[in-house]
Amino acid sequence: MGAANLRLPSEIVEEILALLPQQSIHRFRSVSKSWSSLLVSVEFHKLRSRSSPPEINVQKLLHHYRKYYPHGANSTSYYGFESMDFRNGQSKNGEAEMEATIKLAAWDTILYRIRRVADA
Amino acid sequence: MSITTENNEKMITLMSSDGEEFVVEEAVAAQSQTIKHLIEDGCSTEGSIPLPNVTGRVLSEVIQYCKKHSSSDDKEEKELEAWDAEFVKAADDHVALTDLMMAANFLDIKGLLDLVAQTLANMITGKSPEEVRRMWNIKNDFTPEEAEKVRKENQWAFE
Repeated sequence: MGAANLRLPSEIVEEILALLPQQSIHRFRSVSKSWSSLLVSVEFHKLRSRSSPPEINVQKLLHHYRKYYPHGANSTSYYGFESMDFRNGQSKNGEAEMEATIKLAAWDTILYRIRRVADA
Repeated sequence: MSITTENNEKMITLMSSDGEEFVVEEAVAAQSQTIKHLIEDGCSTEGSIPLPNVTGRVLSEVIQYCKKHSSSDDKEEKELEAWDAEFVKAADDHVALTDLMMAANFLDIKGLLDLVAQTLANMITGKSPEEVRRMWNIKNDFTPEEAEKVRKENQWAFE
């Protein structure tokens, strides 16, 4: 087990990555194909939600959404964001309520669904 | 092996992959669920328990951890936390920590596994994908097009 032939078994990788903040997890999808598929897998997200409560960063979520899906998806209700209208980048009921809504849903699930719809 | 100490503690001999022998109290060795099960199944009555995946250097660190954690009780939690912090600091770099984590995984020592996993996670949190690849010799097997796509999808995480 030296540096030269360091082989990381997948269960070890999972244990470490499950402890990372969301931003690092997204960044590390670029490491390799196996990391990428691990980091979007349902099993990984289950493991992660067991080891840490989901962090909710509303600003980042909104930033992400507005930047990459500027026209919005077909239906915002799909994400459980009924009170929001992303197409003009604003919430009808203000950011406080939006934050409360988002806190009810897991951040990972939200992003996963956004991606699925966007990729379809 | 049935050696006992003066305070009647049963001793177990562990043998590393490179043939080094460690004689430890059964209570210390049993911090490892893997070894505990081996003892329960009667695998320790003859000679020593061979641990083919763990080198002597790593095993001596693991034993240090197990000794500390079998001798401390709950009242000493704060002190134990400080000891753990020093312990992973002494492991020095990610290579030693990775070895330690693989051993903790094989030996099934949950506390040690969690401790090292958290240390490694803290170490890589702010790193770039390229830095992480270099740490663990991971091959970037994306085509340039795939790399571009996955990077774009996760652009916010690079900012």
